[in-house]
Amino acid sequence: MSNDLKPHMAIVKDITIENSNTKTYVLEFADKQQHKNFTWDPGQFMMLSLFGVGEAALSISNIPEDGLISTTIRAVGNVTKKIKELKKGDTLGMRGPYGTGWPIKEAKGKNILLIAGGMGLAPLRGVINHIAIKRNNFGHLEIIYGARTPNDMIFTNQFRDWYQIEKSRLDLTVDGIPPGTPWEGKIGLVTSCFPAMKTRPQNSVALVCGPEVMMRFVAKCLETIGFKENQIFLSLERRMKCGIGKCGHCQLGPKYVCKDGPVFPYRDIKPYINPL
Amino acid sequence: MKKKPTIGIFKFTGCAGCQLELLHLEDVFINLLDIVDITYWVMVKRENTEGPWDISLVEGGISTPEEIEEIKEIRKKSKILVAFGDCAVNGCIPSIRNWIPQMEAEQCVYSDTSSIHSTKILGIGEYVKVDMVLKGCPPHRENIIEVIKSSLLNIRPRLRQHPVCMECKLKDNACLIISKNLPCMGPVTSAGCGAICPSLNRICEGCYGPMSNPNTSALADVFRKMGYSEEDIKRKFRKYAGMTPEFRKEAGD
Amino acid sequence: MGNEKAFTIEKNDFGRLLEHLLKKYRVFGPTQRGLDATFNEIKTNDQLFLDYVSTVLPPKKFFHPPRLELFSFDLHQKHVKIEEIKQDEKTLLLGIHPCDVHALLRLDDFFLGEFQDPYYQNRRKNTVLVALNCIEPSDYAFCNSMGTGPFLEEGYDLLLTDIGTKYLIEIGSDTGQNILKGIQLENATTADFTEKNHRFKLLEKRFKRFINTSWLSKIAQENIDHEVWERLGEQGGVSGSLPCLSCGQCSLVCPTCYCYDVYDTLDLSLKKGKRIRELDSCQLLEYGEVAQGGNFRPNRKDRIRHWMLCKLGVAAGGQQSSCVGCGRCIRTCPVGIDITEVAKVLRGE
Repeated sequence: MSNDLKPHMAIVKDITIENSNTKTYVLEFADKQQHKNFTWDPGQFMMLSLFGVGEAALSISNIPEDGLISTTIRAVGNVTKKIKELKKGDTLGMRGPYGTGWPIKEAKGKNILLIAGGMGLAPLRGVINHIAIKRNNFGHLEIIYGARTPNDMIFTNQFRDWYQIEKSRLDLTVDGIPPGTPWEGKIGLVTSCFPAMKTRPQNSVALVCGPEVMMRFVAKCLETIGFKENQIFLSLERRMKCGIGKCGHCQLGPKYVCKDGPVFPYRDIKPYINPL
Repeated sequence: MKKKPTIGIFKFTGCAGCQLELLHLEDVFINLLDIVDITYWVMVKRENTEGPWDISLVEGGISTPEEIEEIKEIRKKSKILVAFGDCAVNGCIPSIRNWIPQMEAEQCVYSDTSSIHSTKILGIGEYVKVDMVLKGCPPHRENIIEVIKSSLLNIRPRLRQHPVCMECKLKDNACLIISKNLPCMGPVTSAGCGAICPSLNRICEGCYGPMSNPNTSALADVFRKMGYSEEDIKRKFRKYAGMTPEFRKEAGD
Repeated sequence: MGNEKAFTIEKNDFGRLLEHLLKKYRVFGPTQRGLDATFNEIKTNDQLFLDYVSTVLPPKKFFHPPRLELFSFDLHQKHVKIEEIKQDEKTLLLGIHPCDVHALLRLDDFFLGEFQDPYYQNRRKNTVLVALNCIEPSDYAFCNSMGTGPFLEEGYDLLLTDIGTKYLIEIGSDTGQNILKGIQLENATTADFTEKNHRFKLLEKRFKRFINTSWLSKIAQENIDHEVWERLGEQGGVSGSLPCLSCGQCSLVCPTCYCYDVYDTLDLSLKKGKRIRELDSCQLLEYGEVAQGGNFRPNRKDRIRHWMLCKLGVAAGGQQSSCVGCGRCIRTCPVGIDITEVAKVLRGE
């Protein structure tokens, strides 16, 4: 029988530097045949292995239409710090995709509001790419993106393309600006972008990803302006050891983040999003 | 051939047992020397070089003004400084004397105390930045190897801070507290030893110091229920890691 | 009653059955160690301790080992060579109690449902279960309340019941049937089954602990802010217990706790290594850690509540990780925390 815990070898095909501590990696299974049958939904994640160091769950940051799989990684732990040292042509272990993606099918015909904080834009980029190529399938697209400083933002070289997407709006904000850093956007938390927000609750869905405190806050604010619990989707982050609902680490009340999530309707996790 | 990373091994106030544990690596020691170069180890080598070192393993606590200067020198010459064993971590058994007035302690040992000027015994972390901590009296060989390997790979070592009970249960041992009514320190003590003592029906003495987030007051209550006196309980918590904030509460002032 | 499928063997003749089993299998069974029993390899009849009450670790250790090597890897080449570490030995588990069989049935649902675990499956497939109905309930057990004991009705290949001077042997599967080929055994009589039923009735009355399970999961779920959690985690305790030590023993001895940690080890060449999985416990601070120093169960209260809720069937494992009433956690808790007492408090009793 197949062994879900056994990774497959993959090759780093390309690396883009996003900021001082974050890079985007384009990966391909070493076994070409395997890659042919490989597909995913934006919002799903992969388990990446550096043998001898360990394994980590990392979200996919593009769509199957892009060809190879991309993942955007900030070097914070043992595995991700070692991944940062990889060069083009290096290898690593990969298995997946796991978890639920963003509800793109359900969102068809609706206005899309994306709210991201920091690294939270990574799992949402696939949604933006998808909407860009299937523009007529969706209503208005609004992206609100906040980060600690302009230097902490990711995908900055793609903002120009996103501004070009028809019927869309991109709003950027940062918590603060280090001296000497040019910045033309807002200053403040993502919620400070709410007054200027175009998206109205009717016929809309909100997809949110960022630090858990931020998501809790954003979800509350969205509720106050009329979004229903089932119109808001959050992508959660937990440490995972298996990715397939066995190791127990990512339990959130009666849910496994790895298998029932990471994308959840706010309705399903509202009581548990306060630490439990 | 690429130059091998260098290791320096040093001793301050302690019993040299941790260094001995390194020597006990016998069966893998040769393999270890394939990947590192021990350039300073006074206990074992005749010729030693004065650094710098990629990894410094420092045994023993700091107990004199001279030692304070020496540890600062070692720090300057070391990329990764490891507190090697409980004495270097928090003073360990020698630190029991911190509860006795200085003069009294000195007079117990020396007939002429005029040339003795000791300080409170503290872990090296009190004076210099420590990069990794090897708990234990002495640390388990597997932990020593883990620290050396992860230093070479530049990753965080897997030294879990969970209680001895975890390792004890994984060995299928019955709990000594409930089956034999013995005052085992396992439930508050950091694992890493492989639960050696409880596996031989001896209580855990607490030599790895506190685990993460220990409930020391509840364990002290367990001992009280068994009939141990306040003095007994203080001594138990003072023995190996009385200077740590976690055990200090039960070790008394 | 299927008398035609049942046999008996005199207790003092049991060695003959064991020898028969040893011809085909490595046999593991309860052995005495001090006051307690543990499951170990059995080579001779005198090692076997079938009158045991409970073991320290449940037989879970044979199917979901405390420390398991998943695969080895070799980093000498860029294309890392990964080799699964398999265990295909035929084994037989002798003398496993009803609660532990029920726990295995739950682990089966868990490990063999969505995303099958090949390591568990292999061990399960290659292991024959010869269960043993309980002779005496442990002081801590409440399997009777949980519907998992003291006698077994499903999940066994062979089932033994102590009926005085002999064991009644019932067959639960084709494997069980085949095992008994080639050994001469007495056919069971109606009187043997009458004795079995009689013993069951007597046994039921000897339980010292009970749990009222009606609506219990629901009650637990709705009481996540109950003051009992604070008392368990920080001060006061429950019904004479002290607050939790977070020592993790309860989850390690629990036959349905399956949580594990995964890590890599390298040998001193730094080129060859293994990926290991090791039992973990939600009672440990490290269990709830996330990136950059975050932790979503930083307090003892959060952790003991999580475990209790899990055992009452309201965590992510649902029924698959819930309590079977073996009583091991109560027996091993150094501060005397008792899940049946906690349940009473939650019910407001």
